[in-house]
Amino acid sequence: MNNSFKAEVFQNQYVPQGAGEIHAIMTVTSAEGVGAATSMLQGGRLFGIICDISGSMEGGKIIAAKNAMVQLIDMLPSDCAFFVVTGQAVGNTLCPMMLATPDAKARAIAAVKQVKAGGSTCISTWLKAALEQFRLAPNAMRQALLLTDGQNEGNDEEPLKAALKQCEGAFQCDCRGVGTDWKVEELRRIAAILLGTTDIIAQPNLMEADFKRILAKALGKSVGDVSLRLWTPAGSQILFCKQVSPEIVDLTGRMRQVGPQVREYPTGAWGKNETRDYHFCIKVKPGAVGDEVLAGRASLVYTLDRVENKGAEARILAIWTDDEAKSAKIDRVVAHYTGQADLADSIQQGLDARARGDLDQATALLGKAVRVAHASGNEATEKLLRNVVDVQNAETGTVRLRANVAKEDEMALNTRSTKTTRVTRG
Amino acid sequence: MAAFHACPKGHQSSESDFCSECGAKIQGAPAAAANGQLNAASANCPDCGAPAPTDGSIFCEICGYNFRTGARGQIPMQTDTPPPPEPTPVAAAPPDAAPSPEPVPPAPVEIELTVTIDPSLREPNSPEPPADSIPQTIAVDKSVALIGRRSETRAIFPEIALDLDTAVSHRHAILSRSADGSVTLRDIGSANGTRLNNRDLPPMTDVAIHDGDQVTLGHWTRIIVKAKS
Repeated sequence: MNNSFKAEVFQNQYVPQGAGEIHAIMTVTSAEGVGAATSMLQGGRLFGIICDISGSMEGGKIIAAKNAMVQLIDMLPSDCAFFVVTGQAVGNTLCPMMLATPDAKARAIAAVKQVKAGGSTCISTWLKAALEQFRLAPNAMRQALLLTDGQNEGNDEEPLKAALKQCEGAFQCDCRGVGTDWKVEELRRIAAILLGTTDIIAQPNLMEADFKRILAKALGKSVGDVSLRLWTPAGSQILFCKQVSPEIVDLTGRMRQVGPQVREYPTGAWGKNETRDYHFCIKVKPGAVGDEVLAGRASLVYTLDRVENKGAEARILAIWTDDEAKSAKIDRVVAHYTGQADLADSIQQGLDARARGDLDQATALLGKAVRVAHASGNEATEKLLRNVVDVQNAETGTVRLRANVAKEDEMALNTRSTKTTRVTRG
Repeated sequence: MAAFHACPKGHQSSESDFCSECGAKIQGAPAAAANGQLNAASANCPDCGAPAPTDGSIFCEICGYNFRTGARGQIPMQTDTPPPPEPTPVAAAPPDAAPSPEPVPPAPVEIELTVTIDPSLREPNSPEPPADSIPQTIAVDKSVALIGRRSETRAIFPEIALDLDTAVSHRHAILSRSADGSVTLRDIGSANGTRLNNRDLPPMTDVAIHDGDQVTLGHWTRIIVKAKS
């Protein structure tokens, strides 16, 4: 099964004398055949629905959420298990884990239809209720969807941290915020730890389509709990390890030491023909001119039928040279993703400055973001930026802040700021 | 495969290409395929016995044997040698030989650059230089320093950043110190050129510079070199 993943490395291998910081982008693609063997899914699939039914959901939102849940349950294939947790001040397991047979689906749909909104928001308890269900099927492909519309109760801060720690690695979860009363940073933090995506559903009527997309993506996953393994030479240091495409996820802090020189980072489940890019920055001991050293050996590992599989080995090299023409060059792909990370930072800090009332700073940062988005061909982000600023010249990043910005436009820009474009090859 | 591979630094490596301890390249290892997967098929060069390249290359890494035509290889090529500088300055870095000895640590020469704006250098079409700027002094402590203009999108962060002067190229010139302590300047193909003591520098050529030299570039930037040994 070594052909399940393919890797490619982009870097400038030439390092100037005395330096030791190596940057490299690794592109990983899962092959057509990944998961073709059904044995990969011997543990089955378990999909969890975690839905906010606090008082603020009342009205159009709860109606839309109930409809979307009914549709979702209806769509589940019969070999997939599912459960539903509804969230208020405590998480309530509305339907415990069961296989999606027509009978079970009908019972779950009936239960969902009875749901009434009320109470407060305490996300830690919802996650714990979901965790209990996921613990029943440790070998399954474990994925969930969390929907909320409001910010979490202030006193849930510590319990949420503890709950996330328990849930880390136990399941993956995509997070969605409906309306504009939720906090982007809060959901992003949950989704980051649970290796999921974050997005805004501005209007309740868009919920159904979005839920369907999430389920389709979850059902497309064919190999779970894949880790990125990185070997580095003795005495070196990993300065960072980030997923940079399709969106930026900093994995540096998620490192698990598996040997004296080997570390692993979680990447979650993979579907067929999926491509992701990772950016490594490794500091090695500077060598003498002419030395050639392996600065990193990266591969993807996953367990299948209790056998560890390893694929997509990629090598990151360092060759010391005194020829500046070689070492001063920055690889195009590395430069592109350095720019995209900078773009995300500029947007987040720019919106922050705008919220604080520091308009000069906000104009400068968002202007820079427009310039970078334009130059790198990140059209989706540029379009979202145009909802927040009037662009006078995209090339130079000359912008004016808009006086009236819809809250949902600002939140959409914030949540999607980490989405990157891939560099145009060739 | 219990056999260990001997690393040039004396470690026992469990990997055959690069040492599993320190990452040093193992002699006779297959060509460094930085990309893609390992090829399971391994063959040896019929000419010199080195393992055949696994990265799809048709030449033997060691002797240059052509696997496709069977043509005999030549002397191993030095790919890392920089193009020889034309008018060789007194002490340019020697082209690196294959088993390069430990380089002598550079003699402690202190280089200080004073960056000034000199409106008299201005061309008729140049923009007005900023009137309120004061000379900047930059101590060059690295053995190699890039002179240029910062670009965040292109991730260019020069040691000597002349951001105010838009006629300076992002990657304009390089100041480097060779092992014996001499300092050279090389224009790396800048758009508007570099002048040393009022004479144009040929691009991509190392030129020795000394205490008191003046480098002018861009619209109106003048750099005065101060070297103390």
